[in-house]
Amino acid sequence: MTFTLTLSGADLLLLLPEMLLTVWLCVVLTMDFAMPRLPKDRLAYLSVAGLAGVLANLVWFDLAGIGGTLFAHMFVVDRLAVFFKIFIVGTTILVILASVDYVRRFRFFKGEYYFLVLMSALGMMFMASANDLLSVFITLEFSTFGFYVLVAYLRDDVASNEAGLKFFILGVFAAGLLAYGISLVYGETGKLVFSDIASPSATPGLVIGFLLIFAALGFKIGAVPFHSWIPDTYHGAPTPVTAFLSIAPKGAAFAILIRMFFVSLAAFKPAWVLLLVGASILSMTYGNIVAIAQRNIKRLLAYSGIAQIGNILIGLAAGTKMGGDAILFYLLTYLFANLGAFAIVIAVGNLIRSDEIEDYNGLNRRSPFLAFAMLVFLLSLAGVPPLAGFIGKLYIFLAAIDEGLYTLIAVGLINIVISMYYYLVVVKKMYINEPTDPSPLTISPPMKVVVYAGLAGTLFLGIYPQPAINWVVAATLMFSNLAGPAAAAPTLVLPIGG
Amino acid sequence: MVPLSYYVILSVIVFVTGVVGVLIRRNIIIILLSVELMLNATNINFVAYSYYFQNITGQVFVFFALTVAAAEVAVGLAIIIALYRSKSSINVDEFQLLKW
Amino acid sequence: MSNEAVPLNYVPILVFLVVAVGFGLVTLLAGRVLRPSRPYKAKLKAYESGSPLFSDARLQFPIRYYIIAMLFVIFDVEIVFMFPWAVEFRKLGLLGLLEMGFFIGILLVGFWYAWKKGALEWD
Repeated sequence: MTFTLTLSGADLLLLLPEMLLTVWLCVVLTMDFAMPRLPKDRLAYLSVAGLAGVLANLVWFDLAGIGGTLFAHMFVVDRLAVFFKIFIVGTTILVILASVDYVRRFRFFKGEYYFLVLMSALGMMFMASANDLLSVFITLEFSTFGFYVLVAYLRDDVASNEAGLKFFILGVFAAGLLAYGISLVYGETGKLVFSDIASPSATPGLVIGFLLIFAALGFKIGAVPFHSWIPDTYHGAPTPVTAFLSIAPKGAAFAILIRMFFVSLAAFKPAWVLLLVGASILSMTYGNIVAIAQRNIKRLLAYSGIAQIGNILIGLAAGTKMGGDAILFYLLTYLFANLGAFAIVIAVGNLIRSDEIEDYNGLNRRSPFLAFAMLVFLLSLAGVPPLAGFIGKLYIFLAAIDEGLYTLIAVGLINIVISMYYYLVVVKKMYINEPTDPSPLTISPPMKVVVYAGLAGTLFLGIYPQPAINWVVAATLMFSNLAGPAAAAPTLVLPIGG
Repeated sequence: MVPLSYYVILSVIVFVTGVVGVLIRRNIIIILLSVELMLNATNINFVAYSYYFQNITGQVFVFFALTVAAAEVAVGLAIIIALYRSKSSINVDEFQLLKW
Repeated sequence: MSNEAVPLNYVPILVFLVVAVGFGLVTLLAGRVLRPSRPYKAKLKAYESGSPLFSDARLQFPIRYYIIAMLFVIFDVEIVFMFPWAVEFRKLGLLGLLEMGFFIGILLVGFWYAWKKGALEWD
């Protein structure tokens, strides 16, 4: 077998967003070192301009319904891929805007920061299009390399170095597991494309292979029991990087998980539902319970993030088209609420140089706008009715009810109550406690843009979710033939052995 | 001809050596080497299967795995050097500022 | 030529190997048995062109050394992608050439960056 390289203009069109971004990040890097006296803020706005172009391109793809596959089905452009690319590019734009103030604090390598953020975004865009295990491996690594450097970016800060080290060790370990899992799957099927490896019987090699791949992706999304890097990495990393890390890679990894479970493993649904239900229950419960004891807001958001991932896994466990819709919608609500919350943490951290929850005492007196925005974001994360998080949780639970996963829903509901507690502790500190230093706080224009975007998204998705729902329903149309509970009774081979 | 199973057994041994190395060794350089072992086990598997299936895909994977491994080493060494500058040690146990 | 004959062609090589290894072993062993052995301290020291030793060879290298090594690792591995391309050069044609040009172009941006940042200056 030989690879024939044939590319037409129409094929290259599918790659256009990625090519644009590739050229653009080369431009950003070149401008950084070729024009040393250029103010680094300009690079941020230059990056945002490039990303806006890519975003416009993606929206055009979505509206025009452009799609297809490239490179022997390694790279796919469909509505799902375009959804995740828009998700990633949107996140990246907001993260870059939220970084501008923070980057001024760096002593070295200010320009390269934007380059690395763009590079990770490019890697994640490819992840969203990954349609076989080879591209999963490359794109996952590609996106993570940027993050390894970004997490350890504060060279003089021991915590950042240490966070980078832990992230790196566990990340490359996960990469090793992923690669070995892929090699086992290849050994059983001789193929790598997702739709080709849908094997009729579960041989031991296939089971171990997919478990290893799931473990590696579990590391990526930070689901319990693969969560151990999350709190430390989130704590030590520069806060904008934490915000980026807590949202965009999760979305990209879910793109891969959805394709893997819904396409390759559709026949084994009864077996993997148990696996996902277990991971979901553990993530929700562990994340929420440990979050209660946190005194640092970044660690609190890290554990709450683990719990949110548990919620999203409910949708994956449902394993239906509606579950897929719910995952996509939930990710959107999570994007706005979590990014907004991190934007407040960045803004407050820039002003008072502290991330301790104690220092949020009386935030309402110091900046009513920041306190109100934080209130909205935390309540949305908790799932309070008029906000986006409520619709997201409702959607996920409805998808699970259709599949009869009642235990999972019960655990999910209990967890909402637990999470309400620690979110409200922060709210109480902001609104009721007295500030130790009552000087007012002001935030910069780019940061304001991010906070307003978060508020707008959170309120809009909560009050008028219909357009977004239509969008996610259209994005997962290809899964509409997924087996429902009645049809899902194939020859069940137990997950172990075969 | 050497049967396929020999290669698979070899790769399992190499892979398990790598995993155990990552889990029990405390020196970061050794941990990095162990991860390389894991990736090399993957490469053995891929080349063996690729030959067995007479299918080039596995060899293509090896090319990319090599590149990924090199990039990992480059990034990893850079992080280690940065750490060594601030701590004068490359023992994982020394890094306890944040709880594991 | 029948299949059974093939191993016979290798017999001279085998003989050569045995002779070569045997010659090496015999001469070394003979030297050890015959020569007088009278070691003393100065004789056991490592020989460094006759001058006395002044430090251990396992000294710390400057950090620059690692940067060069890292650059080497990164750019060295790219060759791996050029070999298959070179082998199939005719088949891949103009499109392959353009792809490789794009690939090398991206690498060159990285190289240019390293150069500009002074990673290639030796002192």
